[in-house]
Amino acid sequence: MTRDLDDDIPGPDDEPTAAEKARARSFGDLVDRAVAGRAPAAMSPDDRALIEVATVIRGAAGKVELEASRASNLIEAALAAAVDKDRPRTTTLPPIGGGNVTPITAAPKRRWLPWSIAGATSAIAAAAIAMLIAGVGRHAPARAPVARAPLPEMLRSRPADDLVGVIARDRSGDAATRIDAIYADRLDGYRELALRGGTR
Amino acid sequence: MRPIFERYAPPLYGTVILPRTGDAATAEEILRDTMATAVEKIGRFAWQGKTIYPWLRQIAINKVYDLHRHAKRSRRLADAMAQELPAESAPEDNPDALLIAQQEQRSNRARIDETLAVMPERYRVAIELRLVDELSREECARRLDVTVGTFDVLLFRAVRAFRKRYGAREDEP
Repeated sequence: MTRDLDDDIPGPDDEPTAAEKARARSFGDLVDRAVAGRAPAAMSPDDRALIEVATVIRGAAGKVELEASRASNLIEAALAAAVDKDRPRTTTLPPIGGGNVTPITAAPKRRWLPWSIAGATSAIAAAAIAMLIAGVGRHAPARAPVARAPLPEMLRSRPADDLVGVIARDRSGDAATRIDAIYADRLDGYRELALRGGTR
Repeated sequence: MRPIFERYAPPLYGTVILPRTGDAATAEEILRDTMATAVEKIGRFAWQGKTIYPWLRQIAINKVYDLHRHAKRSRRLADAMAQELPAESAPEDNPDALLIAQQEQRSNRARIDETLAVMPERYRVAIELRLVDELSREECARRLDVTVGTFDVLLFRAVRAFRKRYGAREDEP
């Protein structure tokens, strides 16, 4: 993808093509969002390469700062990660060859036990299904639908339509890029949630 | 270590990590990993009556280097950083974290200025107005006496040209 970026670059006064104008406008929008601290997680590899260059320049000029709340969240996450790493694991496996494991050949008399339990539970399940099919519960009073509280916005996936937009016919075969964009957006959403402590 | 991190996280992010990655999300992850590693390896830090900042900075640089090397995102940058590592591995002589951060800021800026200096004048001005001074597109266009659409094209080409020249500069021995 970034091969295009390495092509010859027209001079400052050369007339742009319509395609270049469109890409330049799109890049201008991305720079707007990056300057406002709202750079999208999902973008094409070409856009990402250029935005990284823009960010390097802005960073060198001291224009990119870490917000205090963001820094605080990262510090918490780092400390939590370090604590988790130091915590001894409580799960222990029994020693191989030790404990009260009985070789299957040493207990032939109890081989019927699991089969009888499986048979009994299967019979109960079959009876329950048969009763349902026969309509035993048909006359039971209908339950009122339970209203569920909607999931908070922060826990829901963002609609992919906004990310992908209208798929032009000439880019219909480029599904990998669209999947990458959606995946990057989902990953960004997860990161946001993790930094807020929402996934712990 | 929380007070130490609160003091040093911003300069680590702004002057050490972000200028070497260019991606805010990646830079945040590296900062977090840097701090986690610092907690884990604090026993190895030899206190010599000087700030801990150079030690944190070295961890951060190693993390960025690892990222570039593993992701193979930029062989040129990884190679350039590999050359940078030995010189940066003994920064204990530096007196103060703030001074180090300021020095690094100046160094980063000088690298950018060197590249801008060899670019066509209009590209250089477009980048300075929009990315260094952070003026709006409309204001940038007004100052250059062009339409916003033309300024967008100018900036787009300017950033592409910068990318090409900056990479070429890193290739030089």
